[in-house]
Amino acid sequence: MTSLSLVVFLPLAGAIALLALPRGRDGATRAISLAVTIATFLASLALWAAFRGETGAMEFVERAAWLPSAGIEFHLGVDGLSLFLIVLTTFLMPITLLASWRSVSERVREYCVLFLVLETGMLGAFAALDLFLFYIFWELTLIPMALLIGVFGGERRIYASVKFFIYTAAGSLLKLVAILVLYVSHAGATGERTMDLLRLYGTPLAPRVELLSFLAFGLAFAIKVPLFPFHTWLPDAHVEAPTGGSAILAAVLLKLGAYGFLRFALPLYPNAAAALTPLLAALAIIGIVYGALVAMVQTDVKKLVAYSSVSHLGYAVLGIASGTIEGWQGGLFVMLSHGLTTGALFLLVGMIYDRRHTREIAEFGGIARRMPLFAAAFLFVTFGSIGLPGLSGFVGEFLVLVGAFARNRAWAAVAGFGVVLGAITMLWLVQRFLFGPLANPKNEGLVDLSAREMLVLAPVLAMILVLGVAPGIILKKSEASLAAILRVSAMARAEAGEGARAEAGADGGEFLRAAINGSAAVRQVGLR
Amino acid sequence: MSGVALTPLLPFLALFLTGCLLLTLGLFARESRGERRAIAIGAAGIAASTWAALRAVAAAGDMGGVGGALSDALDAGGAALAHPLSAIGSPVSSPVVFDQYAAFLHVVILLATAASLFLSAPFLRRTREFHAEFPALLLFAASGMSLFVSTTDLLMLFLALELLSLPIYVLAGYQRGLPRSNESALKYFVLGAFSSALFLYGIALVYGATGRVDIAHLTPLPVTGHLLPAGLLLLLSGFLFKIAAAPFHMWAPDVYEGAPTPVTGFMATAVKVAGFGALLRFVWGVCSIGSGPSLAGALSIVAILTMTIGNLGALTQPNIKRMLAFSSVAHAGYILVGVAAVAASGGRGDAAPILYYLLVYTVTSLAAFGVVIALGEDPQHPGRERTRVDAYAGAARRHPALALVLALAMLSLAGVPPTAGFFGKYFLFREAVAQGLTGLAVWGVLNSALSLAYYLGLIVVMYMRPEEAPIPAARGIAFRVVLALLAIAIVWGGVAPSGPIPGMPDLVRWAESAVAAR
Repeated sequence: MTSLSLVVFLPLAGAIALLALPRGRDGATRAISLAVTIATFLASLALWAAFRGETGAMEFVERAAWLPSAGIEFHLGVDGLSLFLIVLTTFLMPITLLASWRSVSERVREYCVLFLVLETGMLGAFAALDLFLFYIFWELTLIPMALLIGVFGGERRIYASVKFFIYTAAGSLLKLVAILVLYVSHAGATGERTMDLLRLYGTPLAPRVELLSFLAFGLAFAIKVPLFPFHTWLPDAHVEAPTGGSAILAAVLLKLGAYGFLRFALPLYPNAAAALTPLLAALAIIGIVYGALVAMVQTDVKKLVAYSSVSHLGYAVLGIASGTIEGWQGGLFVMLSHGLTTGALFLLVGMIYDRRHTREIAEFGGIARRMPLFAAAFLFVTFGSIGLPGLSGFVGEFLVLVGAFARNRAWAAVAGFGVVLGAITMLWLVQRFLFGPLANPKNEGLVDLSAREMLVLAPVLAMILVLGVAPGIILKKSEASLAAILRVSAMARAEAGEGARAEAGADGGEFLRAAINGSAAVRQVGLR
Repeated sequence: MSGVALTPLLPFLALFLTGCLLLTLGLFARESRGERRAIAIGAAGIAASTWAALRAVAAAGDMGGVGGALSDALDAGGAALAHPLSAIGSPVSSPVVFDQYAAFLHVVILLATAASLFLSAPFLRRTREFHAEFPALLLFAASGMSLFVSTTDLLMLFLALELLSLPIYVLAGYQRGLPRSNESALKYFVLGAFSSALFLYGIALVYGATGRVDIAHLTPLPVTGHLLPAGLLLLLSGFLFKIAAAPFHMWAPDVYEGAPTPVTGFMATAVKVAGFGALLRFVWGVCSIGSGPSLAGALSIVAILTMTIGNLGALTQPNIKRMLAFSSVAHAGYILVGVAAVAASGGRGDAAPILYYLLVYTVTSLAAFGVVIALGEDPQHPGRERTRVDAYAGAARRHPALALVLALAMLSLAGVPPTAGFFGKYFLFREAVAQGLTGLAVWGVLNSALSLAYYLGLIVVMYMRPEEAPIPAARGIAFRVVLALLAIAIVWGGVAPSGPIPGMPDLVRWAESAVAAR
């Protein structure tokens, strides 16, 4: 059975079922949530199997009227871009639940309910094709994540939770205004009131309006990714979040930002995007280098992984900013690979934290002697993360660099340097963390991975290898869709030959000048 | 006078007469008892008034069923009453126009009144200060509000303004033994009387400039100079005072804090609804003489000030009632964005978002105040209320249902989907963007982001902090049912504001038809 709604709403149904369960039945609660997430994963696999992906058109489209008078629809669909992010989400959910099987022992029901609601929010945000619906799902991810951090987190959890919420909410509220402007402009130009993303592509906007709208969308997504300098919430959120929360935050939630650029910001505002991609690329490259450098000097493993996340997602954004099909495919691949490797790293850090209740790197060293399996897994994931050929990280970074090279050689050169920095950071961590003499007597009694933990890690490790060896399973089915979105932005730019966009041309500088001078061009658009 | 001519007055009369009945019965009741009976009688009066309101708007057209066909019934035109002065040849139109617009606001006001009535029960029981005057004064105030939104006649507006204000002055000082309550009443009375005087002076100037006392017909007489703008400015100040918009908001925090919580809830909701209802009629009137754009400029400035001051003020309040007071100031600012949009469009803009927001805001605020009442008992100081924000620590564990209602209310006030407050803000800001006031909408959402800090702060305290001391909670079935209904309404309004739920009135469409038929 291939139903997109089923995939999106199954977790929510599970959450409601859990609420009906009496308190204190922790075992049953865990079992039900695991079953629900596994069922969701299987349902999403069915989607993957049935997905054709030859044309780049939306598949499994479902639509129903919601608020007809405001042009708002319940409209879901997937293409080669969202499909894999959806599968990544459903794949990691049961794994993270299983990983926090023991570490969360209080308020288990609340934990599982929040997790399942979060899953519906993320899946809905990836599948929504109505701007309004997307906004709702996007916001729906905020509350459960903030509560996961704030209720189940570490010592400074409240600070981290509030910071996370305010950063993301502030970004997304400006996006809401941009959505409204787009809606009103579209209604003014065509007389049709709609929030349908596919029909809003190519809405003509005055240069200034387009620029500001792109900035509003861009800010929301840049905070989410997070791009330098909007990343400061991330280390706090990661360090304070419970293991499962960190893993999902890094693996899936951050992808919403990069996904937003591809699906919304670039194709909706092609001229502004073309003019501002150098800025986007610059921020991405700063993030790549800066993230790696800051990660290098961290004393807390979790914080180190968090900063290296900033660095990795810089690649995804750089690929997107390159505006080439290689760069975009690479960006998508980096997102997926980062989801697997960083997710796994957070799970591994969580496992060691459960044993020692500390994450200070200085406390460890030489633990490979006591935990050979753990060390092997950690090393494997590290190699995947730093882009060893044959593992998943390599494919994405390579494609991104190819795309960036085609657009601007300097970008590729600096970003390539970042690869080295990232490798140094992670390998140095491995050396201090796993190898060397077993100096700290507290580490003598460490026990190696349990069967449950191996069960948690095995699928992720396997997928890191599979993606590295056979990247075609992703690239083939995503190419047509990404090319279609690229075409949409290029077409919109070509169509804009008339009117206010005439001066814009292919040169971003012209567009920016028009945007800055064009305040008079802001048209008054009435709805009735 | 025949019964038909009285139709537009019946919704008012039902409230007023029930108030009188309660006062009379109160003479024979023993002191401090019988609040159940009084609440039941009050509720009956409110129900009668609702019925009369629906009947009044249906009188002109097809008398459809009520219930599910609510909006259909309201599609019919309104009813008007002949002006008493028309007999002596004064050029004034009918003073009471009970149209659909009035009916919508009337129903929202009644909703606030009924909820305040039911939510006051635990408070009255706890403080052992029940007097029949309490429900009676609530109903008198509501009757004044009902008149206030259903007239364009300035004299009638002034009468209604006094009728709605005086009972609330008394209610604010209801707890005679508490200095704070007295302070609250005195402040509100002095400032309120001052604003009434300004309003009255504005009426005089407008009359001098136009020869009429009707804000729907503001055509200035020749050679009146600046009389009309001056008069309109004074009238505007009067309205802005009632809705607690900056710079006329200073009274709100002190008065809200000192007044008994059920009264605070009533003031924060019903008075605002009435104030905005009349303000919109005023705006339409000003637009009809082509002064919409300049009014829009003034309203935009007031909106920006009000949102900013309200949210900045709320940020640092350790007392939940003061926090909600500042938050209500901020919400007046959001609604003013919608009013400015209407003015900017020369009166043709859509006012339905304003009505919808008023409804949503009323429901949400009442839910919040309801929980504040429920958790307000202070075992150490009987008669006083626990209102420190810190006192809510751990409430989620001891009273999960009440904490959930308060959390929902906070999310809805902050405008986080999927709650009703989100759609309220969404429609408001969309209209502002459509009328070219994008900057105002941007300022509005930035303020919403700011407001998250304190709304979320309360949720954090309830859900993430350990309990300080056991928190007692109020009991009572009617009380809990009302709270549950309000909470359901918040979620329902967030999931399906014009939902496909059969048998439920489509609130968005109702708001639209209420303005469309104006």
